[in-house]
Amino acid sequence: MAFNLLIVDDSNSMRTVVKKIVGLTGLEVNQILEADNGRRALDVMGGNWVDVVILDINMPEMNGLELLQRMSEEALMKNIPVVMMTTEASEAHMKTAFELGAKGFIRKPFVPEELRKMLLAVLGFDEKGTYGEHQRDSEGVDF
Amino acid sequence: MENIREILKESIFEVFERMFFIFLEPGGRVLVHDYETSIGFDGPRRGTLRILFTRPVARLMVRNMLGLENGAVTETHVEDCVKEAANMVCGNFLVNLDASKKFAMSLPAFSARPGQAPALSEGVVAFDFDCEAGKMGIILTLET
Repeated sequence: MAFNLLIVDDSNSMRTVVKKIVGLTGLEVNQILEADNGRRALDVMGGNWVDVVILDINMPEMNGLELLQRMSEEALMKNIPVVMMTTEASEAHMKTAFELGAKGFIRKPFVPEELRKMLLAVLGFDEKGTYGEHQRDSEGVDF
Repeated sequence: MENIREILKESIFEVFERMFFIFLEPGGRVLVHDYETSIGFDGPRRGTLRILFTRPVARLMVRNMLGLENGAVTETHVEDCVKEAANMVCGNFLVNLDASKKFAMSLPAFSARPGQAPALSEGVVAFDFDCEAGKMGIILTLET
Protein backbone atom coordinates (compact mmCIF):
# COMPACT_ATOMS: atom_id res chain seq x y z
CA MET A 1 0.00 0.00 0.00
CA ALA A 2 1.54 3.29 -1.06
CA PHE A 3 1.30 6.12 1.45
CA ASN A 4 1.57 9.88 1.49
CA LEU A 5 4.19 11.36 3.79
CA LEU A 6 4.45 14.92 5.10
CA ILE A 7 7.87 16.11 6.30
CA VAL A 8 7.74 19.19 8.53
CA ASP A 9 11.14 20.75 9.24
CA ASP A 10 12.39 24.29 8.79
CA SER A 11 15.68 22.99 7.40
CA ASN A 12 15.51 22.40 3.66
CA SER A 13 18.64 20.25 3.98
CA MET A 14 17.04 18.04 6.60
CA ARG A 15 13.91 17.59 4.48
CA THR A 16 16.12 16.57 1.56
CA VAL A 17 17.96 14.04 3.72
CA VAL A 18 14.73 12.56 5.02
CA LYS A 19 13.36 12.23 1.48
CA LYS A 20 16.50 10.36 0.45
CA ILE A 21 16.32 8.10 3.47
CA VAL A 22 12.65 7.36 2.87
CA GLY A 23 13.61 6.36 -0.66
CA LEU A 24 16.02 3.82 0.82
CA THR A 25 13.47 2.22 3.12
CA GLY A 26 11.96 0.10 0.38
CA LEU A 27 8.50 1.30 1.33
CA GLU A 28 6.14 2.30 -1.43
CA VAL A 29 5.64 6.04 -1.13
CA ASN A 30 2.97 7.67 -3.24
CA GLN A 31 3.74 11.30 -2.47
CA ILE A 32 6.14 13.20 -0.25
CA LEU A 33 4.81 16.57 0.87
CA GLU A 34 6.84 19.21 2.67
CA ALA A 35 6.30 22.13 5.03
CA ASP A 36 8.83 24.37 6.77
CA ASN A 37 6.75 25.12 9.86
CA GLY A 38 3.58 24.02 11.64
CA ARG A 39 1.35 26.62 10.06
CA ARG A 40 2.27 25.56 6.54
CA ALA A 41 1.83 21.92 7.58
CA LEU A 42 -1.77 22.65 8.56
CA ASP A 43 -2.34 24.13 5.10
CA VAL A 44 -0.82 21.07 3.44
CA MET A 45 -2.92 18.66 5.51
CA GLY A 46 -6.01 20.70 4.77
CA GLY A 47 -5.58 20.19 1.04
CA ASN A 48 -3.97 16.76 0.76
CA TRP A 49 -4.40 13.22 2.02
CA VAL A 50 -1.59 12.55 4.52
CA ASP A 51 -0.92 9.09 5.97
CA VAL A 52 1.97 9.97 8.27
CA VAL A 53 3.80 13.09 9.43
CA ILE A 54 7.48 13.37 10.32
CA LEU A 55 7.72 16.42 12.54
CA ASP A 56 10.54 18.56 13.90
CA ILE A 57 10.01 20.51 17.13
CA ASN A 58 12.19 23.61 16.92
CA MET A 59 10.70 25.67 14.07
CA PRO A 60 9.67 29.30 13.52
CA GLU A 61 6.05 30.54 13.40
CA MET A 62 4.47 27.34 14.75
CA ASN A 63 6.68 24.72 16.35
CA GLY A 64 6.13 20.97 16.36
CA LEU A 65 4.43 20.78 19.74
CA GLU A 66 2.05 23.60 18.80
CA LEU A 67 1.20 21.75 15.59
CA LEU A 68 0.48 18.57 17.55
CA GLN A 69 -1.86 20.57 19.77
CA ARG A 70 -3.71 21.98 16.74
CA MET A 71 -3.93 18.55 15.10
CA SER A 72 -5.43 17.08 18.28
CA GLU A 73 -8.22 19.67 18.04
CA GLU A 74 -9.03 18.91 14.39
CA ALA A 75 -11.29 15.91 13.79
CA LEU A 76 -9.80 15.25 10.36
CA MET A 77 -6.20 15.46 11.56
CA LYS A 78 -6.09 14.00 15.06
CA ASN A 79 -5.75 10.41 13.85
CA ILE A 80 -2.87 11.04 11.46
CA PRO A 81 0.17 9.30 12.99
CA VAL A 82 3.04 11.65 13.81
CA VAL A 83 6.68 10.72 14.30
CA MET A 84 8.68 13.37 16.10
CA MET A 85 12.10 13.88 14.50
CA THR A 86 14.13 16.14 16.70
CA THR A 87 17.26 16.74 18.68
CA GLU A 88 15.15 17.80 21.64
CA ALA A 89 14.71 14.26 22.87
CA SER A 90 14.61 14.86 26.60
CA GLU A 91 12.20 12.76 28.62
CA ALA A 92 10.17 15.88 29.33
CA HIS A 93 9.82 16.74 25.64
CA MET A 94 8.91 13.17 24.74
CA LYS A 95 6.27 13.04 27.48
CA THR A 96 4.71 16.25 26.20
CA ALA A 97 4.75 15.02 22.59
CA PHE A 98 3.14 11.68 23.44
CA GLU A 99 0.49 13.39 25.53
CA LEU A 100 -0.33 15.53 22.50
CA GLY A 101 -0.71 12.44 20.32
CA ALA A 102 2.70 11.69 18.81
CA LYS A 103 3.11 8.00 17.97
CA GLY A 104 6.89 7.78 17.79
CA PHE A 105 10.10 9.62 18.42
CA ILE A 106 13.33 9.56 16.46
CA ARG A 107 16.37 11.50 17.53
CA LYS A 108 18.53 13.41 15.08
CA PRO A 109 20.99 12.40 13.79
CA PHE A 110 19.61 8.99 12.85
CA VAL A 111 20.47 6.22 10.45
CA PRO A 112 18.10 5.00 7.70
CA GLU A 113 17.27 1.77 9.52
CA GLU A 114 15.95 3.71 12.51
CA LEU A 115 13.58 5.73 10.33
CA ARG A 116 12.48 2.64 8.42
CA LYS A 117 11.58 0.81 11.63
CA MET A 118 9.70 3.80 12.96
CA LEU A 119 7.68 4.34 9.78
CA LEU A 120 6.85 0.65 9.53
CA ALA A 121 5.65 0.63 13.11
CA VAL A 122 3.44 3.70 13.04
CA LEU A 123 1.96 2.80 9.66
CA GLY A 124 1.12 -0.72 10.83
CA PHE A 125 3.46 -2.58 8.48
CA ASP A 126 5.41 -5.64 9.55
CA GLU A 127 9.19 -5.92 9.10
CA LYS A 128 8.76 -7.07 5.50
CA GLY A 129 6.79 -3.99 4.66
CA THR A 130 3.50 -5.86 4.50
CA TYR A 131 0.49 -3.99 5.75
CA GLY A 132 -1.71 -5.88 8.16
CA GLU A 133 -2.67 -6.49 11.75
CA HIS A 134 0.81 -5.61 12.90
CA GLN A 135 1.30 -5.31 16.65
CA ARG A 136 3.00 -2.01 17.32
CA ASP A 137 5.71 -2.88 19.77
CA SER A 138 8.82 -1.09 18.52
CA GLU A 139 10.78 1.11 20.87
CA GLY A 140 9.44 4.62 21.03
CA VAL A 141 6.08 3.75 19.56
CA ASP A 142 2.91 4.44 21.44
CA PHE A 143 0.55 1.46 21.76
CA MET B 1 33.47 21.56 33.91
CA GLU B 2 35.57 18.60 32.75
CA ASN B 3 32.44 16.48 32.53
CA ILE B 4 30.77 19.12 30.38
CA ARG B 5 33.80 19.18 28.07
CA GLU B 6 33.54 15.42 27.54
CA ILE B 7 29.79 15.54 26.93
CA LEU B 8 30.19 18.36 24.42
CA LYS B 9 33.00 16.57 22.61
CA GLU B 10 31.02 13.35 22.34
CA SER B 11 27.96 15.23 21.12
CA ILE B 12 29.82 16.94 18.30
CA PHE B 13 31.61 13.73 17.30
CA GLU B 14 28.29 11.87 17.10
CA VAL B 15 26.57 14.49 14.97
CA PHE B 16 29.43 15.00 12.57
CA GLU B 17 30.05 11.30 12.06
CA ARG B 18 26.44 10.23 11.69
CA MET B 19 24.99 13.18 9.77
CA PHE B 20 27.94 14.62 7.87
CA PHE B 21 30.27 11.61 7.66
CA ILE B 22 33.09 13.79 8.92
CA PHE B 23 35.57 12.42 11.45
CA LEU B 24 36.99 15.11 13.66
CA GLU B 25 40.24 15.15 15.56
CA PRO B 26 41.41 17.63 18.17
CA GLY B 27 43.32 20.36 16.40
CA GLY B 28 45.24 23.54 16.95
CA ARG B 29 43.57 26.86 17.72
CA VAL B 30 42.38 28.83 14.71
CA LEU B 31 41.58 32.49 15.13
CA VAL B 32 39.82 33.23 11.85
CA HIS B 33 36.77 31.46 10.49
CA ASP B 34 34.44 32.13 7.58
CA TYR B 35 31.08 31.11 9.03
CA GLU B 36 29.54 31.07 12.44
CA THR B 37 26.31 29.57 13.68
CA SER B 38 25.03 29.97 17.20
CA ILE B 39 22.14 28.69 19.26
CA GLY B 40 20.98 29.60 22.75
CA PHE B 41 19.46 27.33 25.34
CA ASP B 42 17.61 27.89 28.57
CA GLY B 43 16.53 25.60 31.37
CA PRO B 44 18.43 24.12 34.31
CA ARG B 45 21.50 25.61 32.63
CA ARG B 46 21.51 28.63 30.34
CA GLY B 47 24.07 29.37 27.68
CA THR B 48 25.07 29.69 24.06
CA LEU B 49 26.71 27.26 21.69
CA ARG B 50 28.71 28.67 18.77
CA ILE B 51 30.25 26.65 15.97
CA LEU B 52 32.82 28.23 13.68
CA PHE B 53 33.72 26.84 10.29
CA THR B 54 36.17 27.50 7.52
CA ARG B 55 34.66 27.46 4.01
CA PRO B 56 36.12 24.08 3.00
CA VAL B 57 34.67 22.38 6.07
CA ALA B 58 31.25 23.93 5.51
CA ARG B 59 31.31 22.90 1.86
CA LEU B 60 32.23 19.33 2.78
CA MET B 61 29.35 19.21 5.25
CA VAL B 62 26.89 20.23 2.54
CA ARG B 63 28.37 17.82 0.01
CA ASN B 64 28.19 14.90 2.41
CA MET B 65 24.77 15.70 3.83
CA LEU B 66 23.02 16.38 0.54
CA GLY B 67 25.17 14.37 -1.87
CA LEU B 68 26.04 17.40 -3.99
CA GLU B 69 29.07 18.03 -6.16
CA ASN B 70 31.38 20.89 -5.21
CA GLY B 71 30.07 23.15 -7.96
CA ALA B 72 26.48 22.68 -6.86
CA VAL B 73 26.99 23.92 -3.31
CA THR B 74 25.58 27.39 -2.63
CA GLU B 75 25.76 29.78 0.29
CA THR B 76 22.11 29.03 0.98
CA HIS B 77 22.96 25.33 1.34
CA VAL B 78 25.79 26.24 3.69
CA GLU B 79 23.61 28.41 5.92
CA ASP B 80 20.87 25.81 6.19
CA CYS B 81 23.30 22.98 6.76
CA VAL B 82 25.43 24.59 9.46
CA LYS B 83 22.36 25.87 11.30
CA GLU B 84 21.02 22.32 11.36
CA ALA B 85 24.41 21.17 12.66
CA ALA B 86 24.18 23.64 15.54
CA ASN B 87 20.65 22.48 16.28
CA MET B 88 21.71 18.84 16.41
CA VAL B 89 24.90 19.37 18.40
CA CYS B 90 23.12 21.53 20.97
CA GLY B 91 20.15 19.16 21.26
CA ASN B 92 22.40 16.16 21.72
CA PHE B 93 24.57 17.99 24.21
CA LEU B 94 21.56 18.94 26.35
CA VAL B 95 20.09 15.44 26.29
CA ASN B 96 23.46 13.96 27.20
CA LEU B 97 23.86 16.57 29.93
CA ASP B 98 20.55 15.70 31.58
CA ALA B 99 17.85 13.81 29.69
CA SER B 100 15.39 14.19 32.54
CA LYS B 101 15.29 17.99 32.28
CA LYS B 102 13.51 20.20 29.78
CA PHE B 103 15.61 22.75 27.95
CA ALA B 104 14.34 25.29 25.44
CA MET B 105 16.52 26.01 22.44
CA SER B 106 16.42 29.13 20.32
CA LEU B 107 16.39 29.03 16.55
CA PRO B 108 19.95 28.90 15.21
CA ALA B 109 21.51 32.12 13.92
CA PHE B 110 24.04 32.33 11.09
CA SER B 111 26.66 34.79 10.02
CA ALA B 112 29.12 34.69 7.14
CA ARG B 113 31.94 36.94 8.10
CA PRO B 114 35.57 36.28 8.75
CA GLY B 115 36.07 36.98 12.41
CA GLN B 116 38.32 36.22 15.30
CA ALA B 117 37.44 33.54 17.79
CA PRO B 118 36.80 35.12 21.17
CA ALA B 119 39.27 35.00 24.00
CA LEU B 120 38.62 32.21 26.44
CA SER B 121 37.36 33.06 29.90
CA GLU B 122 35.70 31.44 32.88
CA GLY B 123 32.50 29.61 31.99
CA VAL B 124 33.66 29.05 28.41
CA VAL B 125 34.45 25.63 26.96
CA ALA B 126 36.17 25.66 23.59
CA PHE B 127 37.42 23.00 21.22
CA ASP B 128 39.23 23.19 17.93
CA PHE B 129 39.03 20.35 15.47
CA ASP B 130 40.72 19.21 12.31
CA CYS B 131 39.12 17.14 9.61
CA GLU B 132 39.95 16.19 6.03
CA ALA B 133 38.71 19.56 4.74
CA GLY B 134 40.23 21.88 7.30
CA LYS B 135 39.44 23.35 10.66
CA MET B 136 36.47 24.21 12.80
CA GLY B 137 35.82 25.23 16.36
CA ILE B 138 33.10 25.06 18.97
CA ILE B 139 32.56 27.41 21.88
CA LEU B 140 30.14 26.77 24.73
CA THR B 141 29.38 29.66 27.06
CA LEU B 142 27.55 28.78 30.25
CA GLU B 143 25.95 31.48 32.34
CA THR B 144 26.41 31.19 36.07
